Amino acid sequence: MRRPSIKRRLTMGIGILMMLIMLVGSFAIYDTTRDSLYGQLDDTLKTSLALQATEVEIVGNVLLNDWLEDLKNDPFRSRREYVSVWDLSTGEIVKSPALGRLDLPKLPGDPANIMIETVRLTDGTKLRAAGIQLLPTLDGEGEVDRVKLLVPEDHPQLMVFALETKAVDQALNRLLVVLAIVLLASVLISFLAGNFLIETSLKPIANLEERLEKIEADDAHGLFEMPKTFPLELTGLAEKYRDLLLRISKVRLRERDFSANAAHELRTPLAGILATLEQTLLMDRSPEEYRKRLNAALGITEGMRTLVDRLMWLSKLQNRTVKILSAEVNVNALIEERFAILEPKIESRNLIVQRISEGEDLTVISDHSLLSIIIANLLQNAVSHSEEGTIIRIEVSSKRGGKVVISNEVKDRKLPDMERIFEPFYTEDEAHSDAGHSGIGLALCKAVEAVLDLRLEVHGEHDGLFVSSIYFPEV
Amino acid sequence: MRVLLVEDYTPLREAIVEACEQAGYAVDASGTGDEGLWFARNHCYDVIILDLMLPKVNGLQILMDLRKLGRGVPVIVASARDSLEDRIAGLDAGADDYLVKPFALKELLARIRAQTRKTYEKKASLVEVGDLKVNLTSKRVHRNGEEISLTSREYSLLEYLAFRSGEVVTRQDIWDHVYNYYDDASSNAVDVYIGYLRKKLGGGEAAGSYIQTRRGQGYLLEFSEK
Repeated sequence: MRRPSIKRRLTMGIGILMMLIMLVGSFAIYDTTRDSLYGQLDDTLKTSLALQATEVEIVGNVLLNDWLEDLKNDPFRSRREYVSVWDLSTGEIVKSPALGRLDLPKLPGDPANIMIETVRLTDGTKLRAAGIQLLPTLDGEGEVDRVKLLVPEDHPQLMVFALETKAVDQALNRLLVVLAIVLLASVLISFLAGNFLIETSLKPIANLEERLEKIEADDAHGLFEMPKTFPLELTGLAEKYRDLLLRISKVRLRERDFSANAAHELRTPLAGILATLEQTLLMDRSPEEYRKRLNAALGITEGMRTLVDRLMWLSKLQNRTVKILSAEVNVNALIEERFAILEPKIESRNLIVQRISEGEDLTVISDHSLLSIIIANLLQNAVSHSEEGTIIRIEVSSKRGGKVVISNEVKDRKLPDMERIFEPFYTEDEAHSDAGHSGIGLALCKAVEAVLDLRLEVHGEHDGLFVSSIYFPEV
Repeated sequence: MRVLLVEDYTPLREAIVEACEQAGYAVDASGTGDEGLWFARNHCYDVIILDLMLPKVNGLQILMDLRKLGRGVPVIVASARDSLEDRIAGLDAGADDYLVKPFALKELLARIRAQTRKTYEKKASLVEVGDLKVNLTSKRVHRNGEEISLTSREYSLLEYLAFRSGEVVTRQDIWDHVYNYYDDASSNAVDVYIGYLRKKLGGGEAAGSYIQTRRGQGYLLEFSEK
C-alpha cells in the first residue's frame, strides 16, 4: 500500500488551493471587465438610440427618417451602426445601410425601460441591440396652415439600434488568454514554491532520521540532543520519541542485566559442579572422600534447582500463566509456619523477633502458595539482612482489610537502593551466588503482588530500618 | 609459582585452590573483592585469577586499581559474564586473558602456565639446563633421561629456578613466589629445600653443578661442569 506523503499532500493542497483562488479571481476579473465593457456598449447604445429616436419626424403630412440621411452622409457610421425602424401603423420598415437585406429582431422597449439584448444576424454577426417604441416628433409648425399635419399618435414607431460586439469580444478574449496564462503560471509557481518550502520545512525530519540511524541499539547515552534550530512543531514529537528511546533503552539494559545475572547465577554453580567433579575424578580416593565430594556437587545442584524454580515462577507470574486458587488463609499461622523454618538462622544470628498482633488473627481470601512466597521472602530477607543481635518486628493487624508490617535494622545501617530493589537479581553487592541470595526474592514478591489482590510496599528509614508492608483490601 | 585466586563462590574457589596446589602452585585465595585487592596490592603473584562479580569491590575495579598502581602481574579473568561487551571491558581494563564460566580446570591450569611462560619469556614448555630437563606441562623432571621424583614444594622451587635459569634468585624472591601467605615456614626453609633439591638432583658434587649458591645474593640454576 502506498503510504500517504506529507510532502505530496501539502504540494497538491497548495497547488489546488492556489488554482481555485486564481480561478475565482480570474472569473471575477473577467466578469467585471465583461460587465464593464458591455455596460459601456449599452450606454453608447442607449445614448445613440435616444438621439436617433428624435430623428423620426413628421414634417407636414410626411414621416421622415432623418437619421438615415445622417448615416448615409457618414460612411464610418453607415458601416458600423445597425438601425431598423418599423412603422407599426403601416408595417413599413426602414433599415440602415449596414443591415442590407438582413433584419434585426423587434425589441419593444419603452423610453423608461429600453430593451437591450445580444442578437445574432443570420450571417452570424453578433450585435448588441437596444429597442424602444416611440412616436415621431412634429416639425415645421410654420406650415400648419398650408399642410394638413399627420398625428404622431397615429404612427407609432419601433426603433432598434445595434452595434457590433466584435471589439468587446476580442478584448474579452485577450483578457481570457492573459488570465489563463497567469493562472497556469501562478499554479506552477505555487507548486514549485510550495515544494521548496515543504522540502525545507521537512529537512529537520530527515536530519532526525540521520540522528536516529546513528544511535546504537544498546547505547542509552547516544540519544540525540535537540538542535536549537529544530522546528517548534516537531519538538514535541522528537522529545516524546527521545523519551520513548530512553525508556526502551532502560528496558533493554534491564533485560541485558537480567540475562547476564541469570547466566552468572547458573554458570557459577555449574562451574562449581564441573570443578568439583573434575577434581574428584583426578585421582583414586576413598569411598568416604568420593561421598563427600559428590554430596558437595549435589548441594550445588540443589541450589541451582531452587534458582531455576524461582526463575520459572517469576516467568509464570510475569506472563500471568499461574492458576490462582483462592481460599481462606490465616496470615498469622502462615507467618509462624515460615518462622519455624528460619528458627535456626534466627538463633545463630542472635536475632530477637517481636510479634505485635492487633485484633483477631488476620484471615484473608487469597492463594496460599503465592501468599507464602511473599511472606517467606520478606521474612527471610529480614533474617538474612538484619544486623546481628537486633530486633525483627512483625506487626499483624486485622483492621481495615488487614496488614502485615515487617521491619528490621539492616547490616551497617546501609539501606538498599529502593528504586531498584524489585529488579530481578538486584542485591547490594554484584556477587550473590555464594550467600544463598540470588536477588530474585523481592522481584518474585512484586510479581505475586501483580496477580493477587494486595499491595506490597517497602521503604527505608533514616536509622537503617528497612520496612516492608503488605496491605490487604477491605472486603 | 604463586597464584592469587579471587572468587566468591566457595565450592568453585575450593576446587580451583585444590587443583592449583596439586599443580604445584602456592595459592592465596579470597572470597571478597576488598580482601583480594589487599592481597594483590601487598604480595607478589605470578598470576591472578579474578572473578568479576565480587562482594564489596568488583573485579574490574581491582583490575583497574592494580594497573593504575603499575602492577603488571598477569590477570586471568574467570567470569560467568560471557557477552562480547563484558569480555572487551575485562580485557580493556587490563586483563591478560578472559575465561568464561563454566570451564575445565585443565584449561585454567593451561592458561596459568601460558601466562607464567610469557612472564618469564619461556616459549617452550620444556626448560633445559645442561642434561636437566624440567617439563612445565607434565611437571616432571629428568636428568640424563632418568625421572627424578620431587615433592610438590621441591618441584615448585625447581620450576621457579628453571624459569629464571641463568639469573641469581634471592631468598626473598623464592619466598615470594613459592610460598603462600599462610605458609608458616622458618627463616631457613628456603635453604632447607634447596638442600633437598640438590640431593635429589644427584647429590654431592654433581648436584652442586646445577644450583649454585652466590654468597650474600642467592641461588643460580646454571649448568657448570666440574
